[in-house]
Amino acid sequence: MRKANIIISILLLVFAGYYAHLTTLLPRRDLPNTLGAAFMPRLLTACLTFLSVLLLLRDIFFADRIKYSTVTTSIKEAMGIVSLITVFVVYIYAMHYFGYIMVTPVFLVMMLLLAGSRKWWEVLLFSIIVTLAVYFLFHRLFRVPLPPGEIIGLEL
Amino acid sequence: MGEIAIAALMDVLKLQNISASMMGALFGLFIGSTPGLTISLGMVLLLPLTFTLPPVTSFCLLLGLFSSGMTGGSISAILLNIPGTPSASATAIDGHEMAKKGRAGEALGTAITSSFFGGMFSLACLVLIAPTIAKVALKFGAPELFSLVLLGLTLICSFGQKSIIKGLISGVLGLIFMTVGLDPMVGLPRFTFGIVELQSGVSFLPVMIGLFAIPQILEGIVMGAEVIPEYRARLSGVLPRFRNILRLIKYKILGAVMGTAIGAIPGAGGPIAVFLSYDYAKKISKNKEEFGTGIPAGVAAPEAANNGMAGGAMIPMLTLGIPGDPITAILLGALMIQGLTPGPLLFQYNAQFVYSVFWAFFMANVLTLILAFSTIKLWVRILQVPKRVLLPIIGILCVIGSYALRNTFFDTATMLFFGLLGYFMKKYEFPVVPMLLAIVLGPALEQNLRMALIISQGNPSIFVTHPISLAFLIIAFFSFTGPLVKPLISGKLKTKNTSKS
Amino acid sequence: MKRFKNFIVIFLTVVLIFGATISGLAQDYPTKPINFLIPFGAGGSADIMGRTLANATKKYLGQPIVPINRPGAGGGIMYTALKNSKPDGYTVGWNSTSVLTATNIGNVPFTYQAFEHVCRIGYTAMPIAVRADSPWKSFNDLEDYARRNPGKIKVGNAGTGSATHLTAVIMEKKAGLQVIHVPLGAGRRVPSLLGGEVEVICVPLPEIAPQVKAGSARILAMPTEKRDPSFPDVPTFKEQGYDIVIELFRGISVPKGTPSNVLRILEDAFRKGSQDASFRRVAEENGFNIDFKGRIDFERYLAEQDKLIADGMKLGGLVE
Repeated sequence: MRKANIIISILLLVFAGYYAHLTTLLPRRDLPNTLGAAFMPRLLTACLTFLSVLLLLRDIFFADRIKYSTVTTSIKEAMGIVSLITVFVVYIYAMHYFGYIMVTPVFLVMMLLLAGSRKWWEVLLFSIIVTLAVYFLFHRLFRVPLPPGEIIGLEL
Repeated sequence: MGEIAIAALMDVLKLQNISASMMGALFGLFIGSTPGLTISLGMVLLLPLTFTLPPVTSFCLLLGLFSSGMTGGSISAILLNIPGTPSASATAIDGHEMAKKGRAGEALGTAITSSFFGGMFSLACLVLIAPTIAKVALKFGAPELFSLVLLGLTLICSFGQKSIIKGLISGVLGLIFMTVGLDPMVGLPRFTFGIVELQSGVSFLPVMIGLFAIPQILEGIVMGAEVIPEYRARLSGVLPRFRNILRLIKYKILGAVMGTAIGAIPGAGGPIAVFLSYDYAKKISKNKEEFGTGIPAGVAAPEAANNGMAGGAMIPMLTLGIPGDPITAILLGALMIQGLTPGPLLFQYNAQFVYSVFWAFFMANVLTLILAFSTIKLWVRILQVPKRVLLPIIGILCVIGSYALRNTFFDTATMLFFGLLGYFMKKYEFPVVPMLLAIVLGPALEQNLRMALIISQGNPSIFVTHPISLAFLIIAFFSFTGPLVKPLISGKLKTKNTSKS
Repeated sequence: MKRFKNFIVIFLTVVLIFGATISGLAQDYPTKPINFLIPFGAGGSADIMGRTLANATKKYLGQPIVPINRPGAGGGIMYTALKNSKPDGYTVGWNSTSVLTATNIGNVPFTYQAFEHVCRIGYTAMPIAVRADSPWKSFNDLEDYARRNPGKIKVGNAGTGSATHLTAVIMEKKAGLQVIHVPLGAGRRVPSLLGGEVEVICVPLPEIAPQVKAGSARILAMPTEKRDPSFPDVPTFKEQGYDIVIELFRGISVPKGTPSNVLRILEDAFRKGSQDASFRRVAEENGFNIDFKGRIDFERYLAEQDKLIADGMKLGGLVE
């Protein structure tokens, strides 16, 4: 955790620098008696810089005073995160083009497999039932439009 | 007056009014507990129905939805760790921990009874001292709201228990995310990289869904859902014991008072009330360190505040004709559709109708209590669904819920971003609640600060010359320095053993 | 490989069938539900009026009209979405003065002319109001005081660059005054006035009407062409010698390139919808004056209002 903390505080400092840079690029519009758009961002940059430096110094110089817990990172974890995020991103993109009703069962099948469901009937059953249940609850009962799809606009 | 009240009661007790209230409560329970469906949306959907219904029936329907929607928000917060409404986010902290320990039924029972208490308390205030509260609420201008919000932000310190520095960093990052969007004062886009969607800023509900729900899906899938312990939801003994209800009474009173008071202030916003009441519940409790690990007191206070806000927000609406929040704005619209002019004249010319509204609100609370309480066992069954099926369902609710709020995939992307961020924050021991608080309160903080300075023509003394503002600032100062100073004084020698990174 | 070829053939057939249906649509529009984009959130005046209109118009179009809220950026989000949608008549926008303010302030990269404007449904007045106990009985009283005390009076509005802000700016400049504009936001306008934080507000009529009826506020002047039917005693700015006419109008827009027969069908349907009893009733309660303008009239009206808004932006120092 100590190493992680040091890396994180450096990353935060980089982020603070980038944010400060963006702040200087903010367009200006001066209205009477109004604090400009950059006031709050400047204040926050200062706070973040101060806190990150504090975290950095603490972990460099006072490490002996802190009881660290251990963090483990594994290939399995990285793979899990990447695959899950990919499934989500693909789902969102696919829904944009093909609409809710076409894509959701596929997404659910993938999610169920990722979550460790191995019985084929379970995967099939739940992906269809959940899709339809959400559809009826949102679309039919509460009239909340679900993504219709750009290419294939299935009207249901 | 008594006669009018009784006539109004008789009116409300007509079969059609009771069934309207029942319908509203049923509808509200679904809406509140489903992420992505908001109470305002439910009300707007019901509004066309009220064109043809008599005024009292319309209000029975709408208030039923209002009251049970507020309660329903806690159901998904407790069971799935997805707050159904913004003001249920504080409930999720202890409520979901209770569910993990197999005490979901008890958590729900506590939430429902506390909601009922909060609703009833606010109704009593509405009936008895509404004009006084409304008069005080009008005193809340920009400096007062700024100081109140600042007080809310100082809670960051008490939510960053493990490491105050990390809690503060989490809060500051939250504030930074909230500067994205259209600047409220000068109308210029900030940090939007030329993307028009970003001008609407980071929306609170997708962030909340992301921070709370996505990390648990990620963990489940990374670690393999089969190794995560299933929830052990006990079906027997789900109802909280009467003894426990009594023991929680001080937290409920605290929450109800704060909810009603803050709900009555136009523009203060709901989440601040629930977080403040959660924090003060912790402060008045004897076992502070148990907060966050799943205790009923941590559910009781914010839930009482949650429903206290419902009655609180109706105070300025009925007495002054000013909506306290977006939901009461719709109620106001419903009044106008019925041809009734809201405001002081309503009491004068339509006294019986006003009493009917009180009774309808009373009935809504009672029916919500009955309906929610009798379905606890059904709700708890959700947890018996194995994780390998439950996690995908939570996943789809996150995506669809965040999309449906404003019909944009941009919010879904926001949800996913904060979900990933939340996962890493949890892993590296950055508390997420400070970020959430900052995201809720950030815009109000900046807006009221700058607005107050416009009003005072740039003179910062406005914050201390207004007495209410000064009082909040003093409390804020002590609650900010308290957690920082206390360990220095009392625990200096123990630092080596107790503090963790 | 053979299988792949088959797949391609099937895929193309499907695409052709879909393509054929899409091109066939223009002849008998509408054949499917129409999306109705609302530029503000659920529950506001724009939302309630829009939903009621959609509900009243569907029977004249013969298809459901689905209201979809696209709030954010002072309407900019909805207008961007509308501009990017297919010009087939199945996405229509519920516009308002925000189509002029959001474009003129320069936060979206297009002007109001990026759309076909089908019709105006009506408008709401945005009067200047004070507390009932204020010493100013007429706009002239306020004017005198403001002239003697430049930079003292605080005027609340819904946000910098909003229609209420610009109305106040135009009033200020045309009368040669100097006031402080406070961007209170839509929810805080009336409480701030009643609580004494600001002395004057510019506000849509329905929000202040109950306060006036209850005797806690007073309207000084209406920035409309003629007096408002619900407050026939309140003079307009024109009557008091100032040519200030800015209305909070609402109407229907579609993306540029929508076929003209579709525009005609929509205009006709919304004209009938705006006269429907259910819509008229809600309009009346919300202080919304139904005053239908067809496509040509609306374009002319928009050009006038656009010039006003653009001037207001310049006067208020919002654009160069």
